[in-house]
Amino acid sequence: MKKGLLKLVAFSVLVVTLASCAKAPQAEIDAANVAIEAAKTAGADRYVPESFNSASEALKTAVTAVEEQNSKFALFRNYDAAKTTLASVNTLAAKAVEETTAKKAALKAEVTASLTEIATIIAANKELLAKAPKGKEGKAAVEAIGQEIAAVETVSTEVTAGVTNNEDILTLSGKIKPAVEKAKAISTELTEVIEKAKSKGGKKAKK
Amino acid sequence: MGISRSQVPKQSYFSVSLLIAIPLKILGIYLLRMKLGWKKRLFISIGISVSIFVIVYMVLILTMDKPPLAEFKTCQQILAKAKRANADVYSPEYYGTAERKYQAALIEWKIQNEKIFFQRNYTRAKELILTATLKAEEANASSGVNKNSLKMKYLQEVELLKLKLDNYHDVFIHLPLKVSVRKNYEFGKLSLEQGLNAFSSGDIMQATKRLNEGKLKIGIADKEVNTLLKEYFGNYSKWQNWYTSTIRMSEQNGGYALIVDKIKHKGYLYFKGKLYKEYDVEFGRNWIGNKYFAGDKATPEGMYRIIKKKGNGDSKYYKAMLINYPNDEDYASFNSKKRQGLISKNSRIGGLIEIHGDGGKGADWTSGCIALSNSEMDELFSKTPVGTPVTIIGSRISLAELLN
Repeated sequence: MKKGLLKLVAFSVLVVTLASCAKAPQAEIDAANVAIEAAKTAGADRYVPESFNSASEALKTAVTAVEEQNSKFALFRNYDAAKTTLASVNTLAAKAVEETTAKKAALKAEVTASLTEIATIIAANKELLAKAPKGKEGKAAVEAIGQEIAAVETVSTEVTAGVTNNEDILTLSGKIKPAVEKAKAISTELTEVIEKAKSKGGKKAKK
Repeated sequence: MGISRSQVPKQSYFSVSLLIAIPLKILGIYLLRMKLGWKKRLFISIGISVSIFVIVYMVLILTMDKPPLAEFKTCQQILAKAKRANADVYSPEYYGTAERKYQAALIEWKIQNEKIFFQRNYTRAKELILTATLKAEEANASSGVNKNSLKMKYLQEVELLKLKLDNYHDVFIHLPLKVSVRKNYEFGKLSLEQGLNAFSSGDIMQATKRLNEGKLKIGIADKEVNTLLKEYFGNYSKWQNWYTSTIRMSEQNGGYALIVDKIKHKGYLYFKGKLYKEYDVEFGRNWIGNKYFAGDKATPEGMYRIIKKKGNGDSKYYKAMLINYPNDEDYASFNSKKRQGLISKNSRIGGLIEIHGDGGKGADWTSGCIALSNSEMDELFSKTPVGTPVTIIGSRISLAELLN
């Protein structure tokens, strides 16, 4: 009877002790890691580095908080703060993905607009090139401008293919912007060459 | 490194066992000697056992190794700072080591936490996190330096490439180059502009990547141009002799002399041995190299004289001054080349090489003559009588000087 009572008391103490031990939020840590990886795969580290860094730093803080609790005696562990931080990691990572998607969409729209613009300018440049002084007169200059147009057109083709193949839009954006500027410069140059030729022709006629 | 891990548990277990077993043994002996009821004995036993447990626990807690929490927080802050300074890009070695050491420290901390609390030893984790912190600090410090040096290096390379492009636009643009060569220059130029665009956005790595693309294209084009020019400049010593002789003639005669520099596309008018005026000139489209036969669209190279002046209306062009091409040397060269089979047997030596107006088109368009704008032709025409020396050379300066 006495021994039975003692065993019951000891067992109850053991059950209460074990039941009161908090469990490490391993599932939440795994989920947060997955969220960070997803953000990285989406390109958040390149497109929205600030947001991505915030999420990564929060994960580090959360993991440290978990280990801080793991360092304590089992009865005194409390993972609530770590869980809150882990939840914020998911939120921040999701936000980074969202921002990345938005930035990519905005860049894609910009690149698409630039492609339309450059196509128009290239077509106009080709027309201007056809009007530029031909034959012996200014042939080398016209040929040189022709090569400039060809270079711009090649970039435009590359970027168009890149957009179709869903290549990195940030890189494509960096390629197309200077090409548009170049196409505009060629347009100005050609216009000036034609105007110069016209005015020379006019002067010659007066002699 | 302190106590080895294999020693720690044995010592700890032994100490704890002693700490609990000895008081309990004393308590057991004492309770057996006391003539108390079982309830009292149970109560006293539980009370004393709990007290012993609490005391032992407190002693262990107070003496156990502290987890490296503060060290981890410090390291996290420095790593975050380094990351925001783009140390992963500009100081990848230090930053990478810092991250690896941080992860290793975390794993070590976890390993220790999985042990029973009095067995834990965080020494290794602390060492690792300290190394991670130091590396993160180094990464942070060197990142700025590396970024600046990378910027400097980038800008220096941009300048070099711009110099090459300037050469292309100022000197090589006139050369009768292949389409592929011009294309490479244009692609290189566009890559450079793309790089500068990335640079202005602060993306030096992307800027460097584009710069390298540009360097590659321009390098290929430059190689072809250099080969062409090297071959052309094989006559440089001859040009130098003609150049100095012509200036001497102008000095000795106290009159004018015209030196035409094909590479520079300039006509230099000397008076009494001193440079008097320079003019922009245009040639035939195959101007690089000497004139060998009629219709090759090349402008001859040699020492000539004005032999006839044609006013406006007397020439197909706006005023003209005929030179004595071909001279004896040209005939000798023509016949020699014909004999060697370097030119067709049916070809004839050219002639009627003039300095005339209607130029200023910005292109090499003549059939081998030298064209000037009408206003400049007026001036030159008025200064240079029949007999004025006209020396046509490839270049006044050496190839090395030209390219630098």
